[in-house]
Amino acid sequence: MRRYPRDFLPLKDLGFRILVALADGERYAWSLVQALDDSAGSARLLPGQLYRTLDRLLADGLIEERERPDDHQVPDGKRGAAPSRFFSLTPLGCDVARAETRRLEALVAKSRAGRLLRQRR
Amino acid sequence: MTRISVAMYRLLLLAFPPDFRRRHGAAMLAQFTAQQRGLRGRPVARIVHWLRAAIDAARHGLAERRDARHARARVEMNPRGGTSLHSIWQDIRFGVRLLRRQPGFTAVAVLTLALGIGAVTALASVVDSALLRPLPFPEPDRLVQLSFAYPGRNGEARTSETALTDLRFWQEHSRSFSSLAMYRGGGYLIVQSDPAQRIRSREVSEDYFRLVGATPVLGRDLQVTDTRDDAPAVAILGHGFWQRSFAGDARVIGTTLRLASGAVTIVGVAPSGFYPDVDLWRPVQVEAFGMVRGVGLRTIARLAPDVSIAEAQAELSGLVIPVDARLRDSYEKYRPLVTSLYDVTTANYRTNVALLAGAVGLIVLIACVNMAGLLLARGSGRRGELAVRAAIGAGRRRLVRQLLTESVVLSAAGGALGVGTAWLWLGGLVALMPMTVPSEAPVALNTTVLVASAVASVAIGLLFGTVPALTLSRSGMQDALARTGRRHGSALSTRGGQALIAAEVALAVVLVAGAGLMLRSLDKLMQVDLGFDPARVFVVDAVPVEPADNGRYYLALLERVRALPGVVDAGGINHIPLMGGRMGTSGRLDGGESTGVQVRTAMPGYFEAMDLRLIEGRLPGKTSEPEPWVILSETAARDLSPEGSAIGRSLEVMRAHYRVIGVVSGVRQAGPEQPLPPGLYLPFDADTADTMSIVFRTSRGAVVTTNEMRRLATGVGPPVLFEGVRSGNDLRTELLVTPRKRTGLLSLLGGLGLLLALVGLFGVTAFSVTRRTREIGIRMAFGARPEQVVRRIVLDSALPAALGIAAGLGLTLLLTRAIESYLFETTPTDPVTLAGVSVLLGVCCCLAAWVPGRRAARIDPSEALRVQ
Repeated sequence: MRRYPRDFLPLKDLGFRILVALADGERYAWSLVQALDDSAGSARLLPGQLYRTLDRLLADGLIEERERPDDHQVPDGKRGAAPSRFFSLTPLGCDVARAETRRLEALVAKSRAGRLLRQRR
Repeated sequence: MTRISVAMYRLLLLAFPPDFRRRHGAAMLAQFTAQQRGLRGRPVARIVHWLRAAIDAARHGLAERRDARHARARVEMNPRGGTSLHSIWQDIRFGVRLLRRQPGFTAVAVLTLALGIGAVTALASVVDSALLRPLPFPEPDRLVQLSFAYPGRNGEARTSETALTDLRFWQEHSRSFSSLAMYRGGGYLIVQSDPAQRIRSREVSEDYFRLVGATPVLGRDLQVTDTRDDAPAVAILGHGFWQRSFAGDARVIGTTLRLASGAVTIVGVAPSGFYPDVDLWRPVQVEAFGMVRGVGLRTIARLAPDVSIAEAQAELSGLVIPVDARLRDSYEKYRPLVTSLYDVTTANYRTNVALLAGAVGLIVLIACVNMAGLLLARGSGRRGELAVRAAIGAGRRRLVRQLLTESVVLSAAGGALGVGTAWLWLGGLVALMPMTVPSEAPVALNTTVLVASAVASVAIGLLFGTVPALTLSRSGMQDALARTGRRHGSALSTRGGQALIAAEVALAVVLVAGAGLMLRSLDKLMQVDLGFDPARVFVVDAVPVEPADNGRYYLALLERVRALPGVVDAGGINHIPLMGGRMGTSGRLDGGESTGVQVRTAMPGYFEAMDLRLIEGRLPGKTSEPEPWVILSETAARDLSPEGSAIGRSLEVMRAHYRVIGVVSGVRQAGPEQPLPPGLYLPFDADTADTMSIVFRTSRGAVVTTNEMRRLATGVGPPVLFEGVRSGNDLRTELLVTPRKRTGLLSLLGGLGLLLALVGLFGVTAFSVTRRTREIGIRMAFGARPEQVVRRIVLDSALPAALGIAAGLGLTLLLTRAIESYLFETTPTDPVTLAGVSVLLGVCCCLAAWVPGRRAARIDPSEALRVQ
């Protein structure tokens, strides 16, 4: 059964942010955590929430996962487990991320057009 | 610090479903570790992070589990699915619908099971009452009975009761018990109230109530001072007696009760439900013969904490109880014995319960085999349906589950009905039980019993549904859709069906043979010559309220009874025949060797009234004799003077001398199955007379009514307690009540087993006939005569039935040894009984197969061939 990007909208916040983070290219898990954690070192993003969301995105076919790619360079000086799982966007995931961006843009544009922000000024 | 927090986080990951953990567990742990490291040097932040991670794991883990569950349920909504509540509910509804569509089959199966499970329920109630909670006391397993073991004259092991001094000695010197007490059944007492009444009493020592955990609801408990011989007589009322005779009046404390032995002061009232058959509790006052063992005084004790029975036994064995020089020789070989009170109490029930359990077990087995047979027979008609379901995607597991659900629905319905009927019948069933269930633990349906029955129902459904379910589901999977239109051969022609019939018949043979043996034994018991004609001999029980009146009263009553029209002769005796009362002592003739004898006191006329045969000498005259006389029974004469006649010789018994004037035929004193005792009859002495029974014999057809006798007995003069008139037949019936009940119950179970087996055989045959309609039609179209068809069908069932009878006889020979001890002059292999049972079963089986066979023979061949 074919699924269309609009079937996934609206995305949950963390799901959307993951898709956005992966839009620039493949990432391994820890780098994804770092990209998502707004202020570095605060460890806001916790494993349970992250992996449950990743699991859902994988199951829905928005992202895919593979073992360590051949061309990947392990960053030096980093301690901890060598990254073994890499996540990337699927074409569907890419479409969904775009559709969600447009939806949010439209929402923001509508908000700007209204009296909400003007009133505050 | 990091290591501990990581280990704890690893544990928290268990909140996630295993599948999820396998996929992401390592990565999550890595992220957690990295984050913790990143916060090094900021302990507060680390703790906060740890707490947040813990909450995060718990929250998302549980959510993930819930999602996984929902996902599984969605998968199972489709008919191929595994096992969710919803689909089981679907199965149940489908099963119920199917069963409702075949009311005949359902009724037979449910009734069959109801009978089986009803029997189990009733039995479970009895077991629960007799074996599981016979002692309604706190911590009954800590209670023991103390007695003495000693070797009998022929070296056999015997036990003796305890003496008061034994109790006092142990109370002082033993460390194994937290308390010890003594009790003795006090027999009947006459309360000289108006009207006089007879009550049951029990004598107990001061600690008895405390030991068993009972406290008087009114007044005080007994004290050690109450047990002194010179202490004022006191008593505690039984709760029921207090309610009955004193209307529950609390002012009863301190009042007196007039007994024949004197007035006793009421000091307390026992709690409700505590030994309801005891009306009066009195302190044991036996100091006068405090050292004598074997006077009915039993000692019980509560083990001290952490002391085992073996330890208590070891301690008592090491204690030497000082004994008077007079008794030292007799008590030299007595060794104290500590036995669990539970074992003592249940010993009598165990064989009976085991016998019942065996019989009920067979019934249940027959019921189950029956159900399996019916399911299999019915299932052979459902192959088409099963094949269709298999073809549209139901897996074998799914089919088995459906079939099993149906059999469990059946057995659950049977169980519900069985428990319901057991509840209705329980009173009647208990009345049929061949034993007295302890009065302190009334038989009742309770949670234990209900749980046992529920478990039994479901287990039966699963156990005996499994084979048919597996067989049918396999054939269902194998049958191509194309083949479903064709009818298969009989369920009977398959080995499975025949084996079921054989098994059922074999089990029924065992039950019926057991019942048959019991019936034959009872018949022999009824035919025993009692030594007198029970139909014409009557016994009057009347007791003067004042014991001092006994002598004059009985003589006067005897004269009046003799004068009654229709009475041939009358006499009196202190121990009436069959009831087992006895006074054993030893006697010797002319200073010869002494032998054991049983002494009775007879009033003149007794021998004529009983119509005892005079073997030698003469009977005493009815007025007076010149010297004290004694009449010997045949057995006593043989024992006392084996060499020649005893007539005219002098008998010394109980330190007195009597002249032997006659020898009469024996009377069964303790019951028809007991040997004739060496009895002797001493003359009645009006001055020291004990309680007597007046015995009279009527001419044939004469009737003496109870009312007439009551008028006579109460009209003599002194106030008496009249208890009625019993015939010899009444006595025998009373005596044979237990064997009669046992036989009755086993016959009932045997009949039930036979009925169930026949229902099963009939059901399976009838089903196979329906299935074989087409085949029978073809046979008849080719010229088979109706009687040939009938013969064919009957033979189909008769062969396995014959095998079953043979197997059943073998099984009977093995199993009936269990009832050997209940059989009187009947061997467990009694050929007449076994042959009768075989013929009965054979005829019944042929009949059960003949009925459906005849129906088959009436089939119109052209109709039959059209049947699909």
